[in-house]
Amino acid sequence: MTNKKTLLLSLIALFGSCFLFMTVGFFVTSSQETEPAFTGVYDVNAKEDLLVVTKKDNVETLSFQKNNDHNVTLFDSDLDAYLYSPIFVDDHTAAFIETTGYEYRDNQYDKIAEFAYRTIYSLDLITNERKVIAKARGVLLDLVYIPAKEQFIATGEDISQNVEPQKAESGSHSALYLIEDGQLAEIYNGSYMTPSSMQATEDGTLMLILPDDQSNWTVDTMYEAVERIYETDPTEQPLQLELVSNPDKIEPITDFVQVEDGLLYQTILNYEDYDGVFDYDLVPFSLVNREEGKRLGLNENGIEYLRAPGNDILYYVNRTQAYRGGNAFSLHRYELETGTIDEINVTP
Amino acid sequence: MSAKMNTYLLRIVNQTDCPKEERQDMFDEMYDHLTLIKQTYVEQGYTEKEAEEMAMKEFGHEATIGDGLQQAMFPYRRELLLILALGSYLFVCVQYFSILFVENVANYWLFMPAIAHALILFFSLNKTYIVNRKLWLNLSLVLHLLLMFVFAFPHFNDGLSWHIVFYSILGGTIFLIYRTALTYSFGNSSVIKKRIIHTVNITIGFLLLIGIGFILFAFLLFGDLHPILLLNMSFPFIIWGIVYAIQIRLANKSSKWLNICYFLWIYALLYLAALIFPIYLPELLASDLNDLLFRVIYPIQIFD
Repeated sequence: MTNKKTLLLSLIALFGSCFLFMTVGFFVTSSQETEPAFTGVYDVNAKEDLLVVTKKDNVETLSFQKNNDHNVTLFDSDLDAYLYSPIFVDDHTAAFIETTGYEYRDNQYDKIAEFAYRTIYSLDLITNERKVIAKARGVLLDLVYIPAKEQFIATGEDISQNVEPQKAESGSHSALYLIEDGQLAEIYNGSYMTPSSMQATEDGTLMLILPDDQSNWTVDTMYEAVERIYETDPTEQPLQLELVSNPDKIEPITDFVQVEDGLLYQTILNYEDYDGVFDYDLVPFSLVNREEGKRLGLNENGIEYLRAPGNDILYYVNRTQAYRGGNAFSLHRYELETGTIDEINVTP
Repeated sequence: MSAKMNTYLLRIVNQTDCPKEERQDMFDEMYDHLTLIKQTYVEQGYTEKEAEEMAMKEFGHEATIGDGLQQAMFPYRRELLLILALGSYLFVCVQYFSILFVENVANYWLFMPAIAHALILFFSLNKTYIVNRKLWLNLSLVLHLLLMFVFAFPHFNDGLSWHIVFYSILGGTIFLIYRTALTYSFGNSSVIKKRIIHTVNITIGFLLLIGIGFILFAFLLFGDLHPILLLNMSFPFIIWGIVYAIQIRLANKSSKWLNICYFLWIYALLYLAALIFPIYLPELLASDLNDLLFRVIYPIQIFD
């Protein structure tokens, strides 16, 4: 073989194998892409009925699942819109947020909240009748319903209503809103961080997670602050936040649910001995003797969106980070007494 | 000597990475040898033209001879380039397939370094085309270094062995860049000077790449790559290229100005100081001096 032929064949072999491998990659990823895909957004009620959001072809769908039976489609979002925070209001009513999402300027860190469109809907699970609870501009993130007071509370960033939104001067404005007659009334804005894990208690108060420098934070305190669980009556103004979790706890709490005699929260076990990877786990906390119990030992760093439909049942989402390819979510049911874990099929 | 024979010999010597005077020596030596062969054919009864044709045929293909001469100056050059090209390509393929099958993600851009692999493979195997010059080979090796670092860094795996293999590939590339630049067929005072110039300039080039690459990477992560920033960051490389070219040209001419030209390396020291002091050790210098040094790395400043 002449040198010219050797050269040509070598280069053809190199580039040909590149294209062949890329084609193999395309077919492997195409064949394993799961659509509709679970977005990690869900709610579960005491009967363990589920509201789940799935995504297919850039359209998000809210579905209702009863007794692990087939999903009943309740709502399809607009193209490229998102469905956030579906919640059971009662046995036959759900509520959720539809949004156009953040706008991004030059990079993923430079996002704008104020111009997003948000609508909070309520939905009859039997007749599928849909009503608008409120409309706003900006980012609404979480929605919670307090049955004892029949109130909706939402968290949001740079929210405006009935006026054309203005470009935010600096940073974002996070706040807590009480929704009444279609209007979002700001009831708390004392923290740079949006309150998370909002949930109602049986007696009608609101529990949430906030950093402990809330109401008097400065740029310096942000780095020292620890996320803790607070309780408040949302009808009182100004809002009085009472600390529920242990004030001496130095590790931040990232999520929690209410269980029989207290709380089950997610925290970092190696916060002071950080070795490059935080060791997250779920830990029970008794509100009676105010002591932490033994860690559950789930040892999954991707656990989030905790829900406790019964005293001994925990639901959670496991987020697995597919390398540079986004996230994959799965829903799990955990029996606290037996330690049995089942993965829930959200698209039966 | 006919024009055809002249071209033939020029093509052979141009295939080697030698300075002009060395090539002239080689040219003369091969001319004598070729003339002897030609003379033998003439004595056998062939015409001048036929004898010339037959002598060139007997002597061999010009690119092959040039490649052989080059290989003699830098033993195992072809094998090393081949190992680098195929080894790097294999590394990229293994990385691609491990991510594909473990995480179900096809990172097509992992094959970007294949452009450099193809160029190195070409230089390794080529005995046909007269392009085996230091400059082109070293540019391919620098491209290989950049593409491998940007696109094939083993982020996906924290295992030490992957990183050892990766840094061995980068180390091998850097070694070949130096080795290629420092290869000369013989050594005299001019060659020693050129070797010093290559060594210092290539090292400065790497230091600039590391320093500026770090700044660009930080901007890429936490901001955006503004064209003005890119323009500012390109200045030191432009100066570096000009200084390198001037020094090599003066060394080729054995110019008396060469010794003075060594002082042009001060720009590199100034630039490195400007990269280190205002950013990492601002407290060591007065603020005016820090501002001045910052001006060195960011001469064009546009404020919104």
